[in-house]
Order: sequence, then structure tokens, then C-alpha cells
Amino acid sequence: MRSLEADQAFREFDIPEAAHPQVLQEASKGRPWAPEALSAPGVEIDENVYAEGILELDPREKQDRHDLLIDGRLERFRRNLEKGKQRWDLVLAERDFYSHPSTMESYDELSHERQPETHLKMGDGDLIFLDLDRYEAHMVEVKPHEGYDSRGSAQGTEGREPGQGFSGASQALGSPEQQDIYEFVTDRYPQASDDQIDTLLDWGDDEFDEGLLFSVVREMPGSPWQQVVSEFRAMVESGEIPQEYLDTSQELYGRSETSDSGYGNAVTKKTRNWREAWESVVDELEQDWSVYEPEFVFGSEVLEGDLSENTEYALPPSYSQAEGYAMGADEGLAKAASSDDMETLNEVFFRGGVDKVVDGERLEMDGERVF
Amino acid sequence: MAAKTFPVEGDFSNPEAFWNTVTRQRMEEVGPELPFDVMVRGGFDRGVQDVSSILLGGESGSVETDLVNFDLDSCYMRLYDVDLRPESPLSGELSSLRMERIPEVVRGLENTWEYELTEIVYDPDHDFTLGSVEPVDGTVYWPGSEEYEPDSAYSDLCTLLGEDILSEL
Repeated sequence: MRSLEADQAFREFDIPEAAHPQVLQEASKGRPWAPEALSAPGVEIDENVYAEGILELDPREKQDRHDLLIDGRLERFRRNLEKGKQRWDLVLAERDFYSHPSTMESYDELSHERQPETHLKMGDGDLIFLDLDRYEAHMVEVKPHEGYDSRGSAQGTEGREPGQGFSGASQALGSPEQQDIYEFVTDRYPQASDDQIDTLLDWGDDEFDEGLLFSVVREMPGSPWQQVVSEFRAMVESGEIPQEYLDTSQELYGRSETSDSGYGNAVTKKTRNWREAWESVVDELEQDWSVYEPEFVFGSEVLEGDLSENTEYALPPSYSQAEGYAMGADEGLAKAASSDDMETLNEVFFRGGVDKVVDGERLEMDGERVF
Repeated sequence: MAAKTFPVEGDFSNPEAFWNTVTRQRMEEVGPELPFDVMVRGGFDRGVQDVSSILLGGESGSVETDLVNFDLDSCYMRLYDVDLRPESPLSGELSSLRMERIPEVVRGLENTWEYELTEIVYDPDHDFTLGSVEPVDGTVYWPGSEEYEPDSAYSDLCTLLGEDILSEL
């Protein structure tokens, strides 16, 4: 995912000058994909390209898109509650991403330090659905960017001279680290495609700390891409690229190995990581809880297509931007209040926040409580 | 206490046990008083050790997916892809291809359908086992089908699946 300055985005996505104020205004609200922005005077560019490019105008984009997806699922949960059709008693949403959009990690709100090992092992479950009668839980993780091919097709590298910039990647360098990565790759591997470099830059940015670099699968043995990855990894290990990236990755996933063996993709690791963590949690619970396979919602894909017609996701989030969230029917909330296991779940997943939910000082709407 | 696990019985491979586990989980969302009305899933092909995808076809295209839960009241569907080969370089890329076609397929329907796209990833290091639970057969699960009065949402469902599934149940 690239980060573009406003003027770059305007140029690259050919947004007419007359539309700039409207687009910036919507972006400043954190809702640049809102129908009002899409229909602003002069905006006649492809919606997908628009969404991809213009979302980057605002630093809150990642949070907004993430929340948008979570809210979509929460909204559906609420609708089902109204119909009396709901599989789960309670859904809990984690909102730490709002406080720390650059890392997607959870921090102690008071000390601003990472939580101890127990929490790190939990991974980042965005939504946890709980059945408090059957003792079942289901985690949903939204991935705002993964799998999203914003450019539609790779730009060819034919004819590009070594060291010559890329039309996309060369403008995407938002940090010194990314600049290092870019220069390293382009110097050594001028034949690398834009997509490959963009992907690497993405890893060097917001997704890097999730271990995505080390999730690289071997594509074609001996390919330039594999060399890029190997040498980049060596740079991280040698300190040429900040070591904390590597340390963070290892800490999150408990790995000590940095060889070139395949790790599978990051989603698989998150699945495994979360399952193992869950199993460690249920050991501490009174009841015999079981867990569904984690479900990953590839949200950016949901946001593709005609955004104005996808009412579930095109509308601004209707829920609070609070740091934590729980929703359930009154019955579900009552069950949570009396659950023997809620205290443990609360402690592990939400660091104590659910107590406030259950005690509920502020009832926002039927079946909804915010903390 | 540990998380529930089921001992292995029969000749299920781990991927097949995983697929049946996922199917059972998604069945839990389907029923007259539950969020979804119908579940359609692809069968497991033991020969290739993979799921045979369902083809959702509209007038303007078609989309492969492994499992879909339909809410006919709200004209809403949740599509699931199960990634049994997460180590593959192509992992995740198939969904991108799928995404390109879904809006066209949905647009061809009588009602305005909303949808959600999700993925469940197989962990080859985890033992997925079945024991006291029999494997799931069939591709359509519709616990409320006998009481259902076909309407335009059902017509859309037939369009998507290319068949009148009530007549098959």
C-alpha cells in the first residue's frame, strides 16, 4: 500500500482541480470514499483507482477502512439481533488499532507499553463472537489491505534502465527505511517488477511488523525476487535496515530462525498463533470452550466494486470510535455479566474493558454498549 | 481444561477433516432463527485433496467459491474460501480473480444483494480430526426449506446456483 501526498495523488489519479477541495474535505473527515466525494464535481475517474489513491490522502485512512469493515459486521450483527436471528450472544470488538494505527498492535493504554506475553500471543482478533451457553468463540480478523491489487495490473519493466524510477514505487517512499529498501532493490535488481517492489515496500511499512517479510514463500528458485528477499533479510540482520523490525517480527511469532525456509503466509501464522493462544486461554477457563477456525475478512476486496451501491460498506461507520466495543441482546449481555469465564476472557482479550461493558454506563442503542 | 478436539476415525485426511470442521462451523449460522437460511458448499475431492468449488453463475459471469451462506430475508451472502495450500505462491491470489467477477454476478440479479468475502486458512501443522461426529455429506444445507415460500430472493438463489435447489432437497 502506497502512501501518497495529496498533490501526488491528484496528479497520478488525474483528479481535476475543480474536485480537489471536495476530495480534500471528505478526506479530512476520514471518509474519502463517501458517495459525496465520489460524486464531487469533476471526479470522473475509476472508482477503484480513486478509492485506492485518495484514501491515502488522509493518515487516518487505515483506521477508517479497518473500522468500516468492523462496523459492517457489527451492523449486520445488530440487524440480526433486531430480527431475533443471531447465532452469538455477544460480539466484542477491539479498537486498539484506532490508538495505534501504524502498528496494529495492542498496547497498555496506561503505560503505553506492550502487553505481556499473554496478550502478544493472542494475535489481533478484531471481533470475537461468543456463545455463552455453548461456550464457543469465533474470531474475525479484518485485513484491510491484504490481497488488494490496487493497480489492477503490473506495470511493465520493459525498457527501464537500471536505477530508473518506477512510476508507482518511486513515489511511494514515505520513510527513510522505505528509501533504503527502494534503493537497495533498484540498484541490485533493476529487473524486479513494480509489483514486487511495491510489495516489499509494503512490508517495510505497516505490515512489516506482522512478520510478512518472513512469510515470503519461495516462488521460483533462483528468481531475482527470491534473491531480493534473501538479501533484504540479510540487510535486516546486519543492521543496515533497522533491527527492531526483525526483533518485532520474531517476538510476535516466537521465531528464532531467519533462514530462507518457507514459513507459509502470514495469515496462516496468525491462524496458528491465535489458535495456540486460545488453547492456552481455555486452560484457564472454568468451562470447556471451543473455538471456531479464525475467519479472515479481506476487507479491501469487499470495498472494491461500486462502492456507492455497496451500502453495507460505503456508508460512514455508524458506531463509536471508542477503544473497545461490545454488542449483544439484553439477554446476551446478561449472560456475559453472570458468566464465570467472562472475567478471564475480559482480562485476556480486552484487558479489563468488558467489565465496563457489562456494567454499562452508556447505552448507545438497543443491544449496544460502548466502553 | 483443553480446547475440544475429536479423535480421528475413518480415513479422513487432515485437509478433509478440516473441511468438514469448517463446514460444521458454518452450518451453525444456518437455520430458521439464525442469520443465514441456506448453506451451499463444495464437496471434498479426495483425489486431489482439495475442495471442489461451487460455481456461482449469473447472466454476466461466474464466480468460484468454496462455501456460501445465504440470507434470503436480507439478500445477503457470505462467501468463504478455504485456503488449503497456504504455502503456495498463488495463495490468496485466486481470491483477487474472484473479486473481479462478483460485482457483475450480483448486479445481474433481481434483488440488490450484499455480500462479504472471507477466507479461512488451513493450518497444516494442526490436527483436524473427527470422532463422534459423522462427516457432512451433501452440498446444500437448508434446515428451513420445507417452510420456505419461494420468492424473488429464491429466484436469485436459483440463478446463482443454476438450479432449483428446493426441488433437489
